[in-house]
Order: sequence, then C-alpha cells, then structure tokens
Amino acid sequence: MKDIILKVNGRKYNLRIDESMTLLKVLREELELTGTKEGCGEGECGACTVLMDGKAVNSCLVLACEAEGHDITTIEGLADGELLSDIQEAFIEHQAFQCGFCTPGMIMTIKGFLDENPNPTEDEIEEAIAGNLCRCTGYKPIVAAVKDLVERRGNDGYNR
Amino acid sequence: MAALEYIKPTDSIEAYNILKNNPGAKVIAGGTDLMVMMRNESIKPECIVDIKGIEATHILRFDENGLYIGASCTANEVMNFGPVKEYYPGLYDALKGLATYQVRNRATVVGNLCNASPAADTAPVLLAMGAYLDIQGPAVWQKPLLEFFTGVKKNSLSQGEFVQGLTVPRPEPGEKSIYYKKGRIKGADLSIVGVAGVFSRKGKLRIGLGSVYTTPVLVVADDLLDKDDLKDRLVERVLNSINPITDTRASREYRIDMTRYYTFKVAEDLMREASI
Ligand code: FES
Ligand code: FES
Repeated sequence: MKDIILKVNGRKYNLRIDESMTLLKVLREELELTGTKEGCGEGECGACTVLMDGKAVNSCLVLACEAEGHDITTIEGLADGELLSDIQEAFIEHQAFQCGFCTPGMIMTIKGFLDENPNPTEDEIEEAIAGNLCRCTGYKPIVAAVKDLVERRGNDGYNR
Repeated sequence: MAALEYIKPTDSIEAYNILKNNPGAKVIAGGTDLMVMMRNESIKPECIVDIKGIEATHILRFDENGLYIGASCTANEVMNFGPVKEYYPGLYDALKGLATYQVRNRATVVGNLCNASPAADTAPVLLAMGAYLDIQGPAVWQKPLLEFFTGVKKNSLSQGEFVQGLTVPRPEPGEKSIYYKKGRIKGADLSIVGVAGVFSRKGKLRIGLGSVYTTPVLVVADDLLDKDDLKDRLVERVLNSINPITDTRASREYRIDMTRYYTFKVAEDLMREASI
C-alpha cells in the first residue's frame, strides 16, 4: 500500500491505495466520482477519459501513483454548480447522446482537444474523438455539437 | 493484480540499479501497452519503475546533431514539436496514425520502440532515418536502432538497462521522408503493413517496413539510385527481405501485395517531391 495525494477537480485528497490501482479505479471507487466510466479497461473505448494537466488521457491506462503531482479534471469538475459548461450545453442542444455512457469521456476528450486546438476542421474533430466509441448516436450529433460550439466560441469569445 | 511496488527514481543510475537488482521489475513511461499487459496478466511485474521522474527523459530538442527525443516524450508532444513536421515529415505521418488522440497523450515514442512489436508505427521510419538509442546501463552508451530489435516483442536490452532517449540524425539538405500505413479502417488501428521511405539525391534511398517480418525491417537501396529500373529493383529487393504471416488483420498474400503497392508508391512520391 502507498500513501499518495491526488489533486482532482481542484481538491487535494489524501489516499492510501494499492499500487496496482488505476486512476480510473481510484476515481470511481475511492473518490466516488462515478461520472468517469469504465468500458473496456484497456484503452480502446475512451469512456474513462479525464484530463491530466489539461490533456485528455485514458484513466484506465494510468496508475493512480503516476497521477500524483498532476492536476486531474473529471466530468464532475466541468460544471460550476448548476451552471453547465458550454460543451455540456452544446451536447444537450444537439442531443449528442442517447444512453449517455460514452458522454463523460467524449466531453473530456473534446475539452482537452479544443483547449489545444480552438479552431479545428471537421476532419480534425472526427480524428480527435476516434478513440471514443459511441454505440448509440452514430457520432453525427456529437460532431455537430462541437462544430456549433466552435462557431459560437469564435463569435462571442464565450468559453467556460 | 498481485501486490506491486511503485518506484519513481529521479536519477538514471539509480533507476538502472533498481532495475538491475529486481528481475521482476518493469519500466513504465507512457504505460499504454504495459497497463494492458498487466490487466490481462500476460505480464505480472513485482515492481514498476516510473522513469518520468528522471529529468533527462523529458528532453525534446532539435540542433546540429538532429532530433533528440527523451524516453518520456509522448507521441503528441513529438508530433507537435515544430521541427518534426518540417524536417522529419515521415515521422510526423507515423505519429499521426499511432493509436488514438488520448493514447498519444500518454504513449511515448521510445516506448513504441521498446515494445518491439513488428507493427510499431514509429519503427519503420526511424530505421530508415538511421536513428540510434541512448541506452542507460552502468553508463550511457549508444546503439543503432537497427541492432535493437531481436524478435517479436523482443529487444536487445540486458537486465537493468533502459532506453533514455533516441537521436534521429539531421536530414541532409533536400532529403525527403514519408510513411504510409495500411490499416483495416480509416481510424485508429494496428497496421496491416507500414512502409516508410527516406530519399536524398545525394545518394540515399532507405525503406523501412512494419508488420511484414518478426521485427521491423530496413532495406538499404542507395546503390539502386542510378539504375533505370530503380522502382522494379527496389520492390524486388523489398519483397526478398520480408516474410509476413497471416493473422487476424490480414493474410500473408495480402501483406505481400500491399507491400509491393506501397513500396512503389513511396518511391514514386519521394522522387516526385524531391524533383519539385
Ligand atoms: S475504459 Fe479506458 S479506454 Fe475503455
Ligand atoms: S450515447 Fe450511448 S454510447 Fe454514446
């Protein structure tokens, strides 16, 4: 067992964990942050995507020990109380989900990607979410939501 | 998973000593392959040595010696490093097609090589570019990448050794490089074949190949450059150097056909680019 401090959504948590635990497992089982999902557990589906120092990563492929000293953001960290982030709003407007299982991962990938590349082409958007599998929507409304969001952010500099 | 120890040394020699004294230890850099192998228990390390605490493994630099990529540099970091697109377009192509966006934010270029998969995306192009590795043993020593791959998922590292970084020599003026990957789908997938080429009018023609032999393959064809039937001879030489298998991704025959097609295309594209 190992004592670590994990910084998640701005809070520092003191944890005693088994060294073999993934970041995904610690988020869900130790911190009760169950917004982050486990689909495959091996880097194929993207349901477990979180931000680590602002970069989208598969939390099932990261040991919790490796995450010490880094800023972790999960889907729970996006909204400000009742106020949703603009990505979440865009997803609702475009009905970019059905069952919602892929949605947290999808949104975290898009958050990390747009922070890096605020003006992507449609191809770039599709490439960025290629590691997020969705069994319901057919991806069209998701891409439409992102395109719309990019346009709106461009128009009024609105970004939260 | 059984009990596991996690160690994050800050010094290369310290890391070497830990690895040397723990035969059950494994290096983690990006971990994108290691974590999958641990999950399906194809490996059961007793100890994980995280080399990301070693400052030297984060160096990413371009100077008169060429491009230096530290062992902790991720695929996306390298891909987004300006000189890569400009001076090493073939490497840029290979990184672009490597796994998915999130995986590229973790996966390292050096890790891609160390896993020594015949399908490693960065191997063909780095072989063709003449890359060499900085290996940390009792001291750091250099080894050509060509001598590094010894079999399917096997590399030549001895107990305790790990790769600290790699150098890709500076291209000659006018040198061109390219990489084509044939996968089953447009998106993220392992390659059915991967063909890289490096060409310069000053007398260099190198082809790197992935997924067609037990290791990534290098074919040197500098001597063919003044031949009229260069492309046919090149394809012949390439096909004589490979021995692909049939697996879930493709048949042996298909791999041979695709290797022929892409070798031809690589040669044609490189020469067209060089003549512009
Ligand atoms: S659960 Fe991590 S990628 Fe599927
Ligand atoms: S909304 Fe159901 S998997 Fe994407």
